[in-house]
Amino acid sequence: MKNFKVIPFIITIIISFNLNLFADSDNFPSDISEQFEQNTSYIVCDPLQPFNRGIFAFNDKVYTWFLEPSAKGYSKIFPKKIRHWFNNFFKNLLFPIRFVNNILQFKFKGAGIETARFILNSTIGVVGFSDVAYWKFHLKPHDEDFGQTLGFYHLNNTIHLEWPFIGPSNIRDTIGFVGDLFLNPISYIPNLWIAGAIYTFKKMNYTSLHIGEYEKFRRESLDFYSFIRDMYEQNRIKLIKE
Amino acid sequence: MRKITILICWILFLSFSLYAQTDDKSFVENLLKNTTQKAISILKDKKLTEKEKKDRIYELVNPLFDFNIMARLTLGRKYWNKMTPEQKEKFLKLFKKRIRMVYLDRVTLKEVTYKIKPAIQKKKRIIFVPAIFTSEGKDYSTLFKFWKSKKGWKIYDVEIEGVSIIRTYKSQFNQILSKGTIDDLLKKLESNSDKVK
Repeated sequence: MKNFKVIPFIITIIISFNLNLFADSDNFPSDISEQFEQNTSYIVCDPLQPFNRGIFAFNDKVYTWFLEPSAKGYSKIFPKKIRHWFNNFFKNLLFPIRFVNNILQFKFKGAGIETARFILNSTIGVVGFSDVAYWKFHLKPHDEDFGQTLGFYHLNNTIHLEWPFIGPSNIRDTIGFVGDLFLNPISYIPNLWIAGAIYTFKKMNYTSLHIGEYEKFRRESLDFYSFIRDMYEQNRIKLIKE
Repeated sequence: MRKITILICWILFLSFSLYAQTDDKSFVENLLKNTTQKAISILKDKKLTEKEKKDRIYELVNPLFDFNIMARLTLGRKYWNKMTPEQKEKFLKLFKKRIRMVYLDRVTLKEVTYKIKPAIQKKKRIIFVPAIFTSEGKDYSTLFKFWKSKKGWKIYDVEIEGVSIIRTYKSQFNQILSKGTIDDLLKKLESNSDKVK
């Protein structure tokens, strides 16, 4: 009979445990809301916002007045397949950036796969026009850049920046961008005009493969600047974590 | 004797809750797998019109989302508690409509393959399920965040390529509310939803 005394005790424990679990579910469950309120690494540090918004508005006009119309016209002349070839070619060209930054983050497997991809695509893939490494050998790219390497070494929580023609960035990724220029074959072209023309073509070709996406984001956002800024920063955090 | 009984009961109770946790993980994983499977079969159904497909997808996915909690999270405790019941109701309606238009109605079938990865127990009642959707040779890594609400396991946030629905909206709402009132935000949401189509 002694044991029966225990039962109410156990029931109380179970009930109080369950009550505790659901006590706040009608309002703000703290275990969920703290992910969005206290996790400061996701709150973008943007003290230069007025300046950034100005550059953002400028880039927006560059896109709508020049980049998009030219990409649209260009896409009418060249079929999608050829534009994909160009895109693959430029991607293949930037192999040194991916290789070095994989090594700098001790991602030797990634560096190996990137090397295999570069060799396959440069030979069988006709100087990089075709991504045979992916389609035939299922080798996926291991994208790493110097901004990600700096993030890997905990250079984080930096100030957000907008650059004319380049777009959203921050201090970390700006240093990364400059660092990567040394590994970018295009920056070794001595004539600045030719290098600039190649860069513009590359950007136009890329835009032609993503027409409509930018407009869609603009329509769906309530504050376009902070929407693009947050998307950029959140995506970078994820790429660094990988 | 009594102490031993309590101890045994505790062990039983703890082992049961541990068992329940591993069970939760596979439950949530299967929930997501089944829903994705069903959604793809709806999209592949050639007898259905585009509108019917959208409605069926919504019917299928709607019970899985906890819109109440999502709306609260995007505003944050600070602003949510300041709102009147009418404002709350209006906001919830507009927010739900927006999620439906921006995310659910956009689900189309372009040779999508997917892989749902093992679930991760984040906290006692929070489970994350990572998944990879592949379309046209590109991978989109996605993270579904579930919590155990009173009505069972529900999604409270989705991350696509690291970009969280809640964080992105929260920051935009905060931006508007830092300069305007709650009614300004509601007006903006209402006028903007006409553009999104």
